[in-house]
Amino acid sequence: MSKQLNISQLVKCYGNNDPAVQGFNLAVEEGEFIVLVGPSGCGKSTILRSIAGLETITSGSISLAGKDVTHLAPAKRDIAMVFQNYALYPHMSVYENLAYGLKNRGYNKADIEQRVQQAAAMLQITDYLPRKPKALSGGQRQRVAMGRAMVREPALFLFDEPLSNLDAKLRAHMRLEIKKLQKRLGVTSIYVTHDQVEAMTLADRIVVLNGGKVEQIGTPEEIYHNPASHFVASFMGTPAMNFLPVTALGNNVVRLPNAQELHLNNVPNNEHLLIGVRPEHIDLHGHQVKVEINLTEELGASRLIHCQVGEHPLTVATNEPITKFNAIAFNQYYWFDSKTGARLGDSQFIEEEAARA
Amino acid sequence: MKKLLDHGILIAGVLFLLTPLYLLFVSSTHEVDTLIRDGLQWLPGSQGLAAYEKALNQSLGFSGEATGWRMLFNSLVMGLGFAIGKIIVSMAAAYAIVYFRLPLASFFFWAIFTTLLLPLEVRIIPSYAVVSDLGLLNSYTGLILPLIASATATFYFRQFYKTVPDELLEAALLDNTGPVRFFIDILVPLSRTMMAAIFIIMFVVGWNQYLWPLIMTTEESYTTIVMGLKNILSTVRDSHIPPYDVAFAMIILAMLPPVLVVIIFQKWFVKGLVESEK
Repeated sequence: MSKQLNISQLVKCYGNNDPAVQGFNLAVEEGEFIVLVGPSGCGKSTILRSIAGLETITSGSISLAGKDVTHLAPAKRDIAMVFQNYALYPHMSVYENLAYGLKNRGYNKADIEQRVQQAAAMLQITDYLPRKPKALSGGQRQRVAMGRAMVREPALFLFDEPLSNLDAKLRAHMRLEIKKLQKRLGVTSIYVTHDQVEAMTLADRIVVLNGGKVEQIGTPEEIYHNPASHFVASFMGTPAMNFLPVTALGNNVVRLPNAQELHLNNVPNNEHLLIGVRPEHIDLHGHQVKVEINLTEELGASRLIHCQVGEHPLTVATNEPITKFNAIAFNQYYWFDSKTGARLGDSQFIEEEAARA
Repeated sequence: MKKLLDHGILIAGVLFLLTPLYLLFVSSTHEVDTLIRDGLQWLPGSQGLAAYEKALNQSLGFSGEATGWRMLFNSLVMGLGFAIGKIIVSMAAAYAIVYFRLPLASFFFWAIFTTLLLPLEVRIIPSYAVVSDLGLLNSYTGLILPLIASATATFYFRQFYKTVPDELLEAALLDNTGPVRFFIDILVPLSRTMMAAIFIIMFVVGWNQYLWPLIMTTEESYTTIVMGLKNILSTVRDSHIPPYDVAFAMIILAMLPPVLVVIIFQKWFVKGLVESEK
């Protein structure tokens, strides 16, 4: 029971519909940064709101810092939350926004002053304390929202897509700020996002959700290099992993969509077989798989080359100054069952690399 | 050219609305004889504000209690009682409907809403009976309380609360805010402009009440200024000269407070319509 947050068998149903969350389990270490990621409707926000106590859960239990909080009111749970649209009180100054929760908890004036000033200094919003939220930019409002969460010094931070209202440049900046801040304060955090880049960069551990179920829980490296299912492999990583349906012919030989036959490693004996290859794991000098080039996207440091294998699209990422080629090779690849989405194996290159790392 | 036309139209409108008032005011500074002989006057007369002095201090009725001051005071009580009472009651009603999981909440909302179909005139006899049974005839409570529920204001506040983002409530919940605190600390300050708008409307409605106070009150000390306007010409009908100068002065006096309320609250009113600080 040394875990900071323990969620077991969380189920949430809305009305008579299918459950939005089906038996969610998670144990979080103190100081850990957990990111819940998944497409919209995967239940990630529901889980977060259940932890906050803003949703009553259908069944299951939640404990925080060794205390069962399943049926406690949100304010009694020792958590703080940063909302997507900031949810600052528009009629209060920044100072009052930060102080409001403390005031309601009966802190004395001097204590409030000290905590607010400290949080404001850390977030560099001291100059804005007398202003109304209306007079702040999106990034500044975001800081205030974080300040409001920080002043309480809660046992758990909850972030509900806090960066999705910001423009791309500011988002990258604030992402870094959040990470730094969380490391500095060492507060256990749960962060919800649909952006897999945010998930990869922020998380100590990522929880990939789909349709109310956990697809995989793991560190960003594990999720990227060792995806547990077709869904995880396709959701995590930009540009997304390529998938080609292949037919196993026995003796580690498969037939590709362009009717080419190819010898590959560890081909599973499966009827519905899918090979997954990340765009960055393709060798342009491989001369194994014939491709047709459709389009090239220049990204500066690298480029994306969109090709076709038979009828199927294949994206190649490279930083070599090559624009013309007609055959490639797969450096690393994964095997999936196209029916169930289960991972069946890989080219074994992964284990070697993991051993090296 | 276009601007000239625009201004022309606006000026014509202003003249159309203000000329009668000007006539009233100027005429009230003349002697009664002049008014009766020559009708309304375009230029100021010799009496100055004497008619106002009379209108404010002279009693109209028999008891000597219904002076202008007294009537203005009564109307003010009506106006303020209406405005403040309606704001409080309808804010509370809308709060209950929007923020609490009441059984039959939408039924209650529509029940309140349908009372728009039952204005005072339709239910005046039962209303009178109830107030009479409660022994509230000839009291400010009796004047204000039976009319204090407002479907219109409840509807406005409900619509406004529905536009307040849910996250604000959730943030408040995390900030250890109870239902009463949330109402007072968050909703009331956010509704300020709404309240100003409702205040203007309801103050004028209260100030202009005629039928209800006429039926409700028999004592002259509860006469309102609007009732007084009618009385001033009818009660003195026996005397030979109706006091038109005083009547005119009283009309002007009766208009001043609502006009002031509109002017004072207008800034907020417009702000409430134009900008949303959510």
